[in-house]
Amino acid sequence: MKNVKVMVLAGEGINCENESAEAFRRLGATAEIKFVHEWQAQPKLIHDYHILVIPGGFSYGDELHSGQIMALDLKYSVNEELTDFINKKGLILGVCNGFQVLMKLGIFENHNGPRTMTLFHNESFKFQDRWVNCVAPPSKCVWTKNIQTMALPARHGEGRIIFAGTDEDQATHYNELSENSQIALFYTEDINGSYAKIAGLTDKTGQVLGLMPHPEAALESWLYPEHVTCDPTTPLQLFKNAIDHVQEHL
Amino acid sequence: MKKIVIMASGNGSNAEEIIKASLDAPFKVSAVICDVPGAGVMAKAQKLGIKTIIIEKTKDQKSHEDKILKTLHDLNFDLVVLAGFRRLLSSNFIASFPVNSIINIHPSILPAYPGLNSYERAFKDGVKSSGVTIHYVDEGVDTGEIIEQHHFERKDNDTLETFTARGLELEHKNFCKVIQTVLFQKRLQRVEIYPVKLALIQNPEIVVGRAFWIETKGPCAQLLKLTSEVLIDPVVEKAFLHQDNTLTDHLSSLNLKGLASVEVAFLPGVTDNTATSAGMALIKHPILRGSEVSVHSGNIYFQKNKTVSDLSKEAYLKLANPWLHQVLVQDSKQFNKPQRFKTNPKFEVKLSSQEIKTYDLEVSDDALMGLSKENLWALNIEELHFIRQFYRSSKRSPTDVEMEVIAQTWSEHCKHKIFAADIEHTDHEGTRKIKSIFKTFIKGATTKIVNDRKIDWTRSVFTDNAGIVRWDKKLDVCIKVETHNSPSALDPYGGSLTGILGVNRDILGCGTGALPIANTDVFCLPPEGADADGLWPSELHGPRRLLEGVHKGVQDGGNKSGIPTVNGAFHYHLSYAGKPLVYCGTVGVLPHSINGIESHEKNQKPQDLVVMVGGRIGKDGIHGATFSSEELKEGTPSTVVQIGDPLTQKRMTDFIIRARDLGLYSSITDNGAGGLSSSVGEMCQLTGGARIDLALAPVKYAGLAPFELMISESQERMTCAVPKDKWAAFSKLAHDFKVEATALGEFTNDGNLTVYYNEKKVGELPLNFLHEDLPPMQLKSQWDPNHRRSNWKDEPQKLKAASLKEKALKLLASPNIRSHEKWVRQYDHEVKAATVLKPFSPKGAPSDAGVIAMKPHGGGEHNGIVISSGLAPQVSLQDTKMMAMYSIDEAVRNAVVTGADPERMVLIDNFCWPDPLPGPRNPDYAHKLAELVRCNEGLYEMATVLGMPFVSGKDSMKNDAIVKFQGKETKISVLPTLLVTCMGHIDDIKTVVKTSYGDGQDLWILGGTEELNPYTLSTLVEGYKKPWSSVAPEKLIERYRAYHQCIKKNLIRGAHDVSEGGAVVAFLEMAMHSGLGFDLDLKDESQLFGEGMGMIVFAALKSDQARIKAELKDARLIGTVRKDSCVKFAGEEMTVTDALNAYRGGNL
Repeated sequence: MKNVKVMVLAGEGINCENESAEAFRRLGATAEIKFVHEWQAQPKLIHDYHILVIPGGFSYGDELHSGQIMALDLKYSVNEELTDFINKKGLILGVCNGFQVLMKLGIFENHNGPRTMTLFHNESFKFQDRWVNCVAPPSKCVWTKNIQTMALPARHGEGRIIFAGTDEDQATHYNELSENSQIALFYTEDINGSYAKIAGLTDKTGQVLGLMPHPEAALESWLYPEHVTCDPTTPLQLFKNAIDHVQEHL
Repeated sequence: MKKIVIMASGNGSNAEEIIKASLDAPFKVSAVICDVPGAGVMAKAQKLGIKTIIIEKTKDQKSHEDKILKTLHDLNFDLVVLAGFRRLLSSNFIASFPVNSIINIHPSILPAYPGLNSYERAFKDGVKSSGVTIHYVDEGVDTGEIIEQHHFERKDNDTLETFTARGLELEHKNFCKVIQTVLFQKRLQRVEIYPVKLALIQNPEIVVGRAFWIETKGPCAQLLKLTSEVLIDPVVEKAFLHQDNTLTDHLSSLNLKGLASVEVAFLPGVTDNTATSAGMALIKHPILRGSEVSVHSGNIYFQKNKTVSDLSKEAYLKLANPWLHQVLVQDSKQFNKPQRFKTNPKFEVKLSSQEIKTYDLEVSDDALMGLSKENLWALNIEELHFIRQFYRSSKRSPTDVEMEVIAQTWSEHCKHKIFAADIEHTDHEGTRKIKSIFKTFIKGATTKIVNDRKIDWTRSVFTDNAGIVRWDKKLDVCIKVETHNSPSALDPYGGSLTGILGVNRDILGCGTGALPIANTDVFCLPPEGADADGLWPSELHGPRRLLEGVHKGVQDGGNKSGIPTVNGAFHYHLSYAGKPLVYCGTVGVLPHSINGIESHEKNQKPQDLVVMVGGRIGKDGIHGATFSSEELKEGTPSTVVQIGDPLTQKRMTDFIIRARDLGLYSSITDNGAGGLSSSVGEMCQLTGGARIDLALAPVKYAGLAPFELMISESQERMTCAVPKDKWAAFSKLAHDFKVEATALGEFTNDGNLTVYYNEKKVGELPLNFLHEDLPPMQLKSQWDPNHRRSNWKDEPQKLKAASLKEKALKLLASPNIRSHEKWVRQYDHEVKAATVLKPFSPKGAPSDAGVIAMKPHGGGEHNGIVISSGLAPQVSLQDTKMMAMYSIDEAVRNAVVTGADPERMVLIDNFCWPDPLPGPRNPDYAHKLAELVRCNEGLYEMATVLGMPFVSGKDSMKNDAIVKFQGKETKISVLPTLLVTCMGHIDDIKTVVKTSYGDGQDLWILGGTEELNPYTLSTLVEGYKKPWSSVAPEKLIERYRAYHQCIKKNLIRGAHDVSEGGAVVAFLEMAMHSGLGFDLDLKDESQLFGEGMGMIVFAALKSDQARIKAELKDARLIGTVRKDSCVKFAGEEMTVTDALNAYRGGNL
């Protein structure tokens, strides 16, 4: 079996790096926590790994917009390597703030030009910590293969997917993502006003998954509130899918 | 490198000069734009290797300018230079750039001869002298701000040619010089950001835009492009220059036309995290990469149906805080003026004198007290005499640095003088002498318990920043709870934010440096709506603002630091209006040892460097320690109010833990109250001295006096002792983590704390004098059996009568019972993926405690920490001794109910008291001191019998405010309040007991057979006044041990403590977990609603009845869980939904 190597980003206000690394370790992968400055000092570092994780947190305090400054920081320091990494079939997971960073980097866009979507304040304009049920539709996403439903904790203030433009434009953007099989995850209930209850997206390659709820925080049965019938096997499958994919394809 | 774009139409002599000069100047010409094909300037520029762009002039000026703008957008430049550009630029074009981004040279002394052919017209008019003007371009004809003018005299024999030539010479000589100067002059420029559409606005009644003032070295002509790519999310926002004509149209599209606006911005020197982040982001963009940028931010509110005068009045009540903010109110006319900010605002902080003052203490007592008051030393006359004696014998006068160090070190906040005092105490039980409440009762209890029970798992108690306990085979756990009452009274948000970040630093500075893993927060506030009658002292924030502020502070502090908030409480009473109580707690973990060193030890050695790590020093938080040792009154200095910066602290935490594991420092502590004075002053006790130079400390801005550097409480700082051979590595690591680390001096063993400023000695204090010699205060306390507390304002009317069902629902909706789930879910309570028991169940049942698993933190596979709290200020109205017993019982019971082992529990005490010292406005001080003594007696008795040691604690002794209320000076003092936090060990987190039950289970009550007090009901309905009674602690511990055995035997299916509202409320809260109702066989009102000590309700299987009876002697079977949602008791009927609606009701 090939040793799957995972780089988990940390620092600058990221705060879920330990549990994110642990998720891969419990499946036998080698997960290393690297601080943003360590990657920037050596941009090619990423090519030593098969998987990149941008965990949740409040990067740069999320003072302007969530993930905005981290996205700029990466764009102006390691953008080339990041694009290269995707071209070389690397996998990327962005959870919560990590999803917001990927969103602001424009990873989920299919055309050049102005961004067509963003993650905006929840409809309530409030942070909320609550477990949610999610369903993964058939999509091109490597990560959510064979996953139907998952219960996960959602802990965010800016998780509402919105599209740019008029109602019609928005529907067009949504349909395009949908037709491209890029919608990786839905909430089963409307928890934050997200367009069509989208909880997670994949990019055009299917290698990148960005999602708001936290699969890395649902890997022990004792973390689950009682009402939830799902168990940790499903979120664990998400990490396993990535590891299996690397072992099969890389 | 600075860059310019030249626009020209002619033969280009000026352009040529500029290009030539730029070859040796610190700026470059990015391109020349020319609107006349074949103009001379093209060839000249091309010859010099400069990019040229032709945009041919067309009739339609707008389309021509749009083409130029489009070209400019893709170029990179700081300034546009017009060098003979022959078309007047439209106001639209000019407004596309920040004010004064375009520069021109004009061949006359403006305002004479504006327009074309100026030399010729001046020459023909026969002027005696003429010249050139270099000016900024505005929409007028050569009317922009003049930068420089240069004259020349006309000579008698001048022809137009020689006249013009002389002018040109001046042009060539000066234009380039001025361009260079302008490119490096400080600029303050402004952008405003608005939502793209109304649908994205939270509250259409109050629309918010954002404003940024951006200070750069030199103009930034592409500011709009820059901010559009950096500061906004283009899907939802659009950026504007404030003078932009299209801004008005945009505001109309948001329905804001004609509305007045309020801009709220931070005062100079106040931490502005949005601005700091914006600055960090801007310098990542290529346009400003590597530049110095300083940013100030503000929010712009537009409010419907409000006039300028309404807004001016209301701004400080709702949107801004005069301690922190400045406010600019404008009506729509002022707002729409193109030159809205003709003069820029100033953001400088007032400078302090750098001179060292000395004080003459050989003056009268009145004069001494005057000095103390004036300088906010908060020293009393005995202390001042003691200081004078010291300086007499040293034959010199104290410096300001020394006096401030002494004042901080001896402040009640830092030295806990009341808890250390000799007290002659008298109450109805007689008179006794107490040498230090702390040593006698708190430390005394712990020592006794540790000895009696032969406890070997306490590691460090009362000596460090936090108590440290051995937890399992891998980890030690430390815990600390702090209060941040005075700062929260002034700014609720800043107060609680710095409170939580501050206690996080206590943990980070505990032992060799512990990692925070969980937060707790308890707020004591005035009830919401208490100001609904419009009667509220103008000096105080209203209840809603206090609640929202302290809530947001804890939310940001916890969430942004990645620390889960796992437990807490909201408690309401009118007495908390003057100083709200904001308790912030943190739990941390430490490996047993790191690099072979026991992790609870401090190992600083003489010659280790004194290193300050983290944020810079500003004027924020000067005199925090001494200020909080006084009542809140007029004249409080604004510097005590601070905002925290979670990002800086998070970076510092990441760095510290890494540095700890690499063994790069020998000791660490936090910078909290008293700043460097306290951190260095305390750390150097272990080596026997320290020597620092304050001038080395990094500052937020220039102009701090040496004493300010010494005592500033600027946040996000730690002090480390770094061995000299580790300094290079320490410093390099800090740099990598973008954390500032500065060596200020070194630890010594000469017995002194010695302070220099620029190598000049400004203070030298023997540690003995500073820390040990001051004799304890001599106090007398006198219990007054007739003492009554009355509220400073009337309480709401009580109901005359109500049915039992109405009473139950009223109770559920009452301030101290109703659900705060909506607020609590805004705290991330499960980041780090270790929170086993969350504050609320999915359907809204409240938990009794927070439970954290140790495995994710590197601890044992199965065990966990149970964190709970208890407070009972309402009992203090009867007796503070009983209050202590109630507080401890509640905290302990919450932990026991949840499954913690009563044999492995530790306690943390936090006293918040009204001032118990003599003073002009304090006639009943002796009673309040007696209350403190009695409270501690109760605490000692309870803790020693329960066998639960105190490992950490804190006291806050001046929770009073002097305000004007209804024309009278009014003192608002908190009820004596003791918060007890309990930390218990749970062997297996899978045995956690929740506030829940299942279909068909039996419902039991444990305890509650003594006389109960329906206290909460008595605050709502008339006629229930009853005394509190206590249960012997021996009985309680026996009960808790037996209950714990039942959990171990898997007999308990769900449980809840009985507190406010009594048994019915407890069962109803349990019902919320599943929605299933119950039948309850309780009829007596005191049994239904009565409150007391030691009561637990729990659910168990019917088949376990006999076993439970055998295990729990004082348990009574009193009900059954139903299969539907119906609730029946004492002939009343309701549904769980009714209960949940009441519980979640109101506008919370």
